[in-house]
Formats: sequence, C-alpha cells, structure tokens
Amino acid sequence: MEIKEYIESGILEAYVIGSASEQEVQDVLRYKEQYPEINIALNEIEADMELVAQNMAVPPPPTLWAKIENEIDGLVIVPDLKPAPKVEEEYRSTRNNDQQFIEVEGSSSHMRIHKAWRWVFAAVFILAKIFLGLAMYYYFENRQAKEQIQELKMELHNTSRHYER
Amino acid sequence: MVQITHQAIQVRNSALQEAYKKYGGMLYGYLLSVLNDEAKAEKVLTAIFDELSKAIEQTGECGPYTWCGLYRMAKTKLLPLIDDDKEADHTLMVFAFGRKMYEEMSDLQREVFYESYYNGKMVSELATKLNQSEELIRKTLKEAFLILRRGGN
Repeated sequence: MEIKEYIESGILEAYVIGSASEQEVQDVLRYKEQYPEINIALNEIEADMELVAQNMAVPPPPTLWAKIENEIDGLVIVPDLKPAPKVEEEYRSTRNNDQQFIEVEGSSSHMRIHKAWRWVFAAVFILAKIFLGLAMYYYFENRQAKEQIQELKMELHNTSRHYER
Repeated sequence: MVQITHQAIQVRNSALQEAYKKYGGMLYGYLLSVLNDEAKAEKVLTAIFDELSKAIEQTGECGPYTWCGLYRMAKTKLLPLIDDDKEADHTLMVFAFGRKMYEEMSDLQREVFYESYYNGKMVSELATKLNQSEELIRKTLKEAFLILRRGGN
C-alpha cells in the first residue's frame, strides 16, 4: 500500500470527523497499528479537531456533573435532592448575559460581537459626523464674526479720525 | 461483567470527572452548536458519561479518553436528533475556524466540513447530495483540515 497516497486521500480526516464508512474505519484502525506514519498523521488531524472544539467550548451548567454522577451511580433523583436551583439560575442568567457582550475568541485575533452593537456603532458614527459639522460651522461663524468686528473697528477708527479733523 | 467495589466506584468516578473537566466544555459546546437546545445537550452529555461508566464497569479500563473518541461517541448519539431540514448556520464555522480561515475556504470545503461536523453526514451521503465523487469529498475535507492547520500554527 502506498502510505503517502493513503494519507493524502483524506480517509484519515473522514475517519476523525466520523464520516468514514465502517470498512474504512476498520482499515484505519489496522493501518495505524502497522504504519507509524499513519499514526502520526492521525494524531495531527485529531489535534486539529481538538482545536476546533476548543474554540467552540461552552462551560456546562455547574450542577450538571452532580446530575451525571447521580445517573452513573444509579441513584434515584428525588425532588428534594435536586441541585440548588439558584446556582442553576445564576448560570443560565450568566450565559444569557454573556450573549449580550463582546466575546473575544481566545486563540485568534477575531471578536464576536452581539448584533445590537451595529446600531451603537452606527449611532456613534452619525453623532461624530454631526459634531464635526457643528464644529466646522462654529469655526467659520466665529472667523466671520471676528472679521466683521475687525472691519467695524477699522470703520470706527476712520470715523473718529474724520471727526477729529 | 466486572464486580464493582466501593473503591472501584471511586476510581471510576475520578476518571470520569477528570474527563469531564478536560472535555466537558468542548462536548457541551459541540452539542449546543448542533442541537441549539440546552436541555437536549445536557441529556446527551449525561448519556455519554453514562456510556463511559458502563464501559468501565464492563472492561475495568478507565480511559485514556481523547477528544476524538468522545466526539465520535457524541456524534453517534446526536445522529437521531439532527434535523436534516435545518438551515446551515455557517456562523458556527466562523467561530470554530476564525473568519480568516473561513474566508480562505471554498464553498465546497465549507459545505463538506459543515455537513460532516455539524450534521453527521457520511462521505457517501455527501457525494450523493453534492453530486460529486467520494474521492473528491475526502480530498475536500482534507483541504479544509489543511486550512485549519495553517491558521492554527
């Protein structure tokens, strides 16, 4: 078997992502034991998949582990033993609140921003334009006023000299 | 079946708790992105650990657990719950890959990865759906992974 060709075929990726056929899965499991190159390639792809999952990780509710433990220990959950609803509520409200804020991806330089922010950005942009317009308007108004005062002063000066004569 | 003692229960629970600490968030995030339902995601996550627990009772082996092993287990449990008519939400991929890597992908690469990862489609199913050969689907999947690796390094 051409190992390089096998690795290049994409069968390993299909296996890791869970889209390979039963026969392909059996082949991959057999070949990874026989050929170290295939095992190395497989480990690399699995690391890539883990990276995707890390980017999408969401902390489970704090009470979930207790539920799972109860389940695996075969305990019957009676209403009184239900995990504190307050903790659950806090978690849910935190998760809901989280969705209102900017969430920064840990491993990349991208930001995840709630859609509502676009209106804030649009408003800031429009306000900035209005302030710029007003600033320019008052600047020119002020300059014009100063020029007029200067002209009036000159006129007054000329008039007073005229009367002095 | 291996008789489980009190000490064995402790060992089992500690192994499972370790796996939960390491992969619980990743599993829950994946389940949420596919199901978009917290209650269902919790149920599937519980079922996964229940199955792991049973496997320990039967074999006496506690791991080691890998992300891909747990992911494939999750996928098996998810398949009956996936809604085939659901519209593809590619923002999930933008978050998973990052925008730069997502934009680097061709439409086919995006669709093949999305359908495989989030909709549990097999290579053969994708080949039929997209009217392409299985060979091309696998190659496309490989290319998507290569883009992911380039961006990750």
